[in-house]
Amino acid sequence: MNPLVWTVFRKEMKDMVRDRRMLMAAFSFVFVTPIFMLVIAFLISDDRDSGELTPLAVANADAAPGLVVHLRNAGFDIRPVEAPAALSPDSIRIPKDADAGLLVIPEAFQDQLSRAEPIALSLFQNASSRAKISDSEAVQAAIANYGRVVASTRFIVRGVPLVLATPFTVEMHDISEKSLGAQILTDGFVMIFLLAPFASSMSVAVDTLAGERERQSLQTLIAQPVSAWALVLGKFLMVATFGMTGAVLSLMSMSVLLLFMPQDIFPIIINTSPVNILLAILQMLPLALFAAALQVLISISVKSFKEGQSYMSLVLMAPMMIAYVKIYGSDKLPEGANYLPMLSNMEGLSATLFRGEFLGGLFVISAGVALLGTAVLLSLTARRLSHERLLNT
Amino acid sequence: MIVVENIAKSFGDVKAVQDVSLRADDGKITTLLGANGSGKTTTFRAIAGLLAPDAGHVDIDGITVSKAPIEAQRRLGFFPDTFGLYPRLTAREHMQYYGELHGMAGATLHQQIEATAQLLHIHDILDRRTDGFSQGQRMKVALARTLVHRPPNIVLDEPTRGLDVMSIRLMRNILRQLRAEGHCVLLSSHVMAEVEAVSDQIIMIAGGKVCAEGSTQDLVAQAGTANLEDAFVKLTGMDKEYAA
Repeated sequence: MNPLVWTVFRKEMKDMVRDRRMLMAAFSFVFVTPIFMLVIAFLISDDRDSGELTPLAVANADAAPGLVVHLRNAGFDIRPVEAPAALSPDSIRIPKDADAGLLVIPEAFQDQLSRAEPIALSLFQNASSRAKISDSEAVQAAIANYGRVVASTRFIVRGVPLVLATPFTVEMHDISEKSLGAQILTDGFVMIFLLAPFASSMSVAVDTLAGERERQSLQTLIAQPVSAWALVLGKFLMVATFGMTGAVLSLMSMSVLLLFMPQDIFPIIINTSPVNILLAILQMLPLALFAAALQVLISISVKSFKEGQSYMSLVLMAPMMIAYVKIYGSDKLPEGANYLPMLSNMEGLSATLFRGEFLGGLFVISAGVALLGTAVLLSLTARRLSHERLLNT
Repeated sequence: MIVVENIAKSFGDVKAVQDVSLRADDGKITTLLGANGSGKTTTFRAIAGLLAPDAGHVDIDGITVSKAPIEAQRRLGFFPDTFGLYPRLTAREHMQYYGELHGMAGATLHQQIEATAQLLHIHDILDRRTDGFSQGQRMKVALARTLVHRPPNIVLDEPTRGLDVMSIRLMRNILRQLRAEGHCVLLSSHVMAEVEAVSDQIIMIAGGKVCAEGSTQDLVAQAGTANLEDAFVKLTGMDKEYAA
């Protein structure tokens, strides 16, 4: 390798690691994202069924003792309250601790039941949180279930076999290798891992060329006896080093995160054998190189640090969008799309980290595509660096 | 030695340089004297290999810049119109980086850094990061970076701009010392006193063309004026321009 590439690389690394803000920007994604995920997981786990009865306020509970017993058996703590004067949502006050809402039973419940008339029950809910909505839905399900019990009793009393009311039943069997939920979880995990090289190298990529242009040091640099390719490669390798470091740190921080994740919320286990970790890093390398090459090209194409940051933010959105396409629409993508950067990485890393498999064929082809893309992007950057327009600041 | 032969350079409809020829010899200080926008910086950028002239050519020690830019740049120290320092690197690291880009390493590079620091009197700021440096200190670091590989040819684009009196005097002394060592020094300026004080050869440029050249005495005699400033105004045709 041209020794000047190494000279440029060393200077760039020294320059970047001395900027604390740059380092913070580079690696905040790696450490903040797992903490954020952990907090979300614990918030979700806090909503889980704790085994305690859910408070439900019931007006005119005495009018429907059977229903009340059914609701109690379904897991509700019945809190009898006075019947409201009117059934207007504006005037109704749900007791503070009644998480499942307020159920108003008509006073004529028993009479209507005995005459087999339709009975209108009113359920007032506070839909301000996911947990309260879920509790209210449980009340509706319990009431509907009670309705089926009453209906069955009526059929039996009239001598109608229950089987006539249920002409067929469906028994569900899930034969998928992995549930959709688990697939989305693992793909989401891999997506965060794959965003790391883009996020970690973004700020240093902007600084290495757009920043140099803004500081007006680029003119002096390109007047030195060093080829545009050597300059571009030195800077590119620095950016890729940051990206790859971000990816490795992301893998480590996400693996640590899984140790603290509630297993019922995040039921996936990462395969952290040394071979698997090395294979995962190997698969990340072409993507980190591609990301660095793309960011370096953007950096040479803009006139200022600020302009560069704007474009880099858009570039960070692109892999996120690609990842979401993969998560929610992979079955609609053409076969060849699976070899593109990001899509192939998601497939390969998912296999390695969660199933302990290495998709060698996919890796070879996708790495080839990523490296070819990297070469094209670097070539464009070297051409731009040699262009006279670069002197216009 | 730097030889510029009939170069021309346009940017769209703007003819920045129309016809510039000059020769800067070793052991002499040659000054390109011109008003703002006269084509000095474009000429210097062509010499440094940053711009390709539309016509003509530039030779540095017999090497044509457009044919072998890297070889030509090896024999050149370029001090541009902006200092462009790295705020997170020290003065020493600036010299080290540029020395290495010129293929220097080890003890040779270390000796050159020390010698350059001695020449520019920058030992007190050698290991300080350049962030927060004064204009004079920034000039010294930029000059140190230009000279660390001891190039035979040195091109300085308005090197005293924005400097205080003491920094200008230091710059003059350095230029004289480089001349005494046999370097070819080519600088640009529009400050008459400075030009008169250091130049062996003055090339006047206006509207992208060379309009006169010679020593201070030659130019004053040629214009029939009392001093270099009046000679410049007359020879570049600026007197007619302003009279009109």
